[in-house]
Amino acid sequence: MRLRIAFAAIAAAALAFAAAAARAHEHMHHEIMMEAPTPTSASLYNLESKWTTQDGTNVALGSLAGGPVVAAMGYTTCKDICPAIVADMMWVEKHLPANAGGRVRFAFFSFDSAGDTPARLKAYADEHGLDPGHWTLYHGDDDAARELAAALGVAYRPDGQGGFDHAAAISLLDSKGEIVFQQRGAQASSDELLARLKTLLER
Amino acid sequence: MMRGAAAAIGAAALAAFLARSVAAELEPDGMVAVPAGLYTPFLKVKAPNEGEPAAALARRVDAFRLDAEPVTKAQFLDFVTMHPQWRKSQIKAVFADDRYLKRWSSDLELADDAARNEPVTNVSWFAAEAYCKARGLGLPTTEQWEYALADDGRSRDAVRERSLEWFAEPNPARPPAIGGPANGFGVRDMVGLVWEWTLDFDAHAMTAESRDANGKDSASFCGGAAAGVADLTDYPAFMRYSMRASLKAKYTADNLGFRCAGGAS
Repeated sequence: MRLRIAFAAIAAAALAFAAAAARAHEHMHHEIMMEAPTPTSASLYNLESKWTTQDGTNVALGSLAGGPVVAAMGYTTCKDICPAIVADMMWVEKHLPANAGGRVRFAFFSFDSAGDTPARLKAYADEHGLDPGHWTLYHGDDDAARELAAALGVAYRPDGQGGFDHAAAISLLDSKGEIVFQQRGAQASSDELLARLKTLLER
Repeated sequence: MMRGAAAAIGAAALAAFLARSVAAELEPDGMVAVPAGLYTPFLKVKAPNEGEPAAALARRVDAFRLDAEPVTKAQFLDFVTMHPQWRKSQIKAVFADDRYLKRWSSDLELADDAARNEPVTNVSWFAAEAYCKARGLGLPTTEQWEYALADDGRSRDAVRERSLEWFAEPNPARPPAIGGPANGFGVRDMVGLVWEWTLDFDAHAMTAESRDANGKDSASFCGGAAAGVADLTDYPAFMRYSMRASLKAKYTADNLGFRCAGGAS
């Protein structure tokens, strides 16, 4: 009841400003998306962690359900392997088949809960020319990052200097959120990941 | 007069005994307070593009609380009774492999009464974390766990000796019951019953796996690389680190359990 009143209040306020109204609509759209069907047993969408996108939208992982996802973890001030991870993902994006449409999401999850604020992620996406039509960058708290890293098998630890030592892995999820393939190591060939992605799109 | 002196000595001894036992006092929730102190990590890590490995420097560990003993099957049974999604028939494949709680007779039934005091095993990292979170706690970090085992240097030989005995024993199908001797912090059964999950169990998998002798970082890992160990003679420590590095979060095993940790009270 209180929630409904809150929504009513938001809606009323939003009516005054067209731009705000559009955002509220998008937000409500996400609320609906979060009530997606029960995830399959092996789905990553069973994880209950909450994330905030570069646009400041609060989402559960299940908001990615419905299409293939190319997912990786890293942090934006990383000068070592992370740029290579993003570059590999961009290579896959560039080679998407024509039938992909807007169905494939590229998801980058940060383990830097302190540094990688949604605003920082937005700036990073802009700097690297990541198309918001395909890409979402996620900020979460330490628990969220720890849990997702465990589920994706991405070993990491704070390096004591504000950064992280971490494994490089790009995971391909199917539309249900199950891991179908993992590319280990950056600057490796992404041919197999792309081939698997194409197979998913043909289903 | 003599009797008075004896009583005074007795009182002093008692006071000293009390002071010591207070330091390792068991809290009502079965946890002990582990005081802050210095700890030398076993694995040395080399920062990227650095020629020389950092020396094995002692690091400060903040005070924290730790379960005196590994979580038992009876305690885990209470947890799954309250949280049905962690029962063996309900567990999601993303959170545990198919050996999860393998030896339990059913969702809410242990193999027998003797099992109640055995450390719970065949639990994944996710299940262990969920159990600790339900208590408002979390898994200890590898550093906290190793620091508690190191016991401020007091149990060094005992730990190594017990470890080697344990490694020599064949793996029993069921772990022995808890109740071993307490170390100086009041912590029991860290070695000899089960291996234990830590929060960042795979944090050192990177250093264990990247063995580029040229000091050039492997493209698989971002950041620091292995740069040797603090004590080459510490075979049990090698075993602990490589065991942890071999795990994945949803793995379960007959001899892998856990205990919980929390901030200082």
